[in-house]
Amino acid sequence: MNGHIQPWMEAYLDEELPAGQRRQVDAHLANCPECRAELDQRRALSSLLHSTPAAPQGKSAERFAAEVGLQMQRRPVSAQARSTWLGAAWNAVPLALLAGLVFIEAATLLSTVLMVIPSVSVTLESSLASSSMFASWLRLPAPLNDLVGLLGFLAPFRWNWITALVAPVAIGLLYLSWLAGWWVMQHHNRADY
Amino acid sequence: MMQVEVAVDETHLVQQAQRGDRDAFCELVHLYRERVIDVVYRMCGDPALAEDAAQIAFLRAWQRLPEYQPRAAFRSWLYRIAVNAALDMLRRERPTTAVDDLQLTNNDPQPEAAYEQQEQAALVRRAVLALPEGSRAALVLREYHGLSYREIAETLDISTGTVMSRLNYARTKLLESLAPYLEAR
Repeated sequence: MNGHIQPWMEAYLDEELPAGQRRQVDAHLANCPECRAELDQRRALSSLLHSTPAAPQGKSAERFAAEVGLQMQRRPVSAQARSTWLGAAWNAVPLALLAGLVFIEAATLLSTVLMVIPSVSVTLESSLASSSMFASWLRLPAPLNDLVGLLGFLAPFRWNWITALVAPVAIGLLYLSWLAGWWVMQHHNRADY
Repeated sequence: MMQVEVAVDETHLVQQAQRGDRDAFCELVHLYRERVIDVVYRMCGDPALAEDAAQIAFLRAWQRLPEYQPRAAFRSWLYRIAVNAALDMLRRERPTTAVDDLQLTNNDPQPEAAYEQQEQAALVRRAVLALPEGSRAALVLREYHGLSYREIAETLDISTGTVMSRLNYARTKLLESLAPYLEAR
């Protein structure tokens, strides 16, 4: 070890050094009277600090607790329940955002697929019906045709730049806002005591 | 084994108190009363103020218990409230009992030795009180309450590196101010 152990002195004294560093400090102390003297001084200081008596007890434990008990305001159960409910709702926000994103992406995909299938079916129908004797049974089944009706419902989710870019970005921004709110609340909870 | 049982009991009491159980909280008050009073006393140096500030700390803890999350030790959380209550009290009121005004008890068998001891204790307390608040809090929690660096960091919401530098500062200052007493020992 080069130099003295000053930067590690506190941690060594308080037994907070990892074993490897502790061995290094021990080895240094064995050969450095200066550091040994400083360490002895700090140990003497610790012993002097411990020689001062603890806080004198004025009130008895029962009286102290009784006084605290008398001043304790009842925490309204409804407020607690509300706080629990709000907390659960707050924690559910990221899940709701994820569900929203999945829904929009799925609806966009479904809308795109449905847009492709009817155009294929119509082309097939028109080309085969005129030339084939099997035109009647080549007609697409009714349920598939009914899917075309869904297009009206899924119209807002047709692939376009709004669904492809704006929705995910908006959801991402909402998630970042939630994260910022979460951080602020954590910081507030820790700092406000 | 015993320590585990105490920790389990404490966790149970904290959970009960969080749900609004006043008796469970009073048990916690009994469990921590002496330690909280001592933290506050070492921070403000006045026994009368210390008891008041400790009661305020417990009342604040009761009000904020629903916000407590067990990822930090309950002890660290409570000490944090106690340290802040002590500092608030110090800012609001000056200590009523000067640390060097402490009186000897009449039935002391060796009055001179007792006087010297009290004088020394008063000087030590005064030197500790002269430290900046952050360093004083770190020193009190380490020297008198044996908290680890991690626990002190949790309590004061600082890094363990800052804990180390605050302790170093506090001890270096105390070595300077208490040098005559240290040489005499």
